[in-house]
Amino acid sequence: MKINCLIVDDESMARQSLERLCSKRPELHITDVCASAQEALAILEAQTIDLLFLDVEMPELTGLQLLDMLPYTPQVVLTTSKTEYAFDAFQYQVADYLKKPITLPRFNQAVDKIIEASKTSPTSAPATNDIYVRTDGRFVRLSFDDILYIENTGDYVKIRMASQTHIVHTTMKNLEEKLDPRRFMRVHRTFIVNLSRIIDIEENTLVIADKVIPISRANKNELMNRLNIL
Amino acid sequence: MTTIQFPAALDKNILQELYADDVDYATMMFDLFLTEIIPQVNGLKQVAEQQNWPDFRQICHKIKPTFSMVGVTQLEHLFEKLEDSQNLEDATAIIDIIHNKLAQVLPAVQVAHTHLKSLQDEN
Repeated sequence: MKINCLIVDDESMARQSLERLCSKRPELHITDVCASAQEALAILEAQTIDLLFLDVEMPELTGLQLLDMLPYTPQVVLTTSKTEYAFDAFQYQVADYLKKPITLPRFNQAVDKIIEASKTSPTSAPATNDIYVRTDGRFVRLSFDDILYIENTGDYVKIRMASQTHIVHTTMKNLEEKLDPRRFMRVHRTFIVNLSRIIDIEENTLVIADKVIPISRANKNELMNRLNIL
Repeated sequence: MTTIQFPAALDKNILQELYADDVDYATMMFDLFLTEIIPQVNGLKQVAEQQNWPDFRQICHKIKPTFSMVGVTQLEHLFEKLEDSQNLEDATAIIDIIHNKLAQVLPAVQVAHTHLKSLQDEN
């Protein structure tokens, strides 16, 4: 089965270069080529794309902003002429990161890696009870049991533990995907909570430790259904 | 197998990594560079004069890697400087240097383009 690819770049030489490189790999099928992230979003919402070659710096909506809006997560290869996005690439857990101009050996290396990874079923991955986050230049293991709640603060999220708080450069969507959905729930646009750490619930708020956390109207019913209420 | 002979003024290593022996691909990229990128480089001063630095930076950022696509790697650092420029005086000075250096190397790009076209015709 071929891998359906979408190429997104606002620069025509870059688009045509990627089209040419993709055409050299029989495993790849180019579903579409877009000159903007908005155009790509419409395609990603309408059909399933397996692999996204995504330029980072585009006007109006950047490649990283597009990733935050995706209804599902295809394999992503970021393409950029700057190396400064390497950290973002890591944070967004993209499959690879290609610096322009993209050479044939480097392109092949990225595609080989993606094909190899696609052979491993994601459902066979072992369940985990913790997450590693990069904070202050090191990776710290956080046990799910010890996370109280997570708060969105713009470009960063605050992970509140019983004894300390970690500030991590990532998005709520990214982090949410890494958490155990049986234990954690997004109760508000800016809060994900550990359900087992809730102390009490009032009309539109809940309390964890000393923190009063808002519950959005849209999430209230789901929250109540997930709790063991007498 | 067709061997592409690039002029010595161009970075043969990057061109080999990019195209190997793919004449059609190389021809397409040289075509695009000459027809789309060169006019943009020629219009950089006019864009700078508008002093809309985020837009200016975006344009420079897009142009930068295209020079390596035709083996002109020596201009990349100047585009990096240009991306960072925040005033008209600095930007204009860097654009002048780019235009001068480009005038020196552009004939080699055009020779390579002609050579690629002739290889395409032979095939």
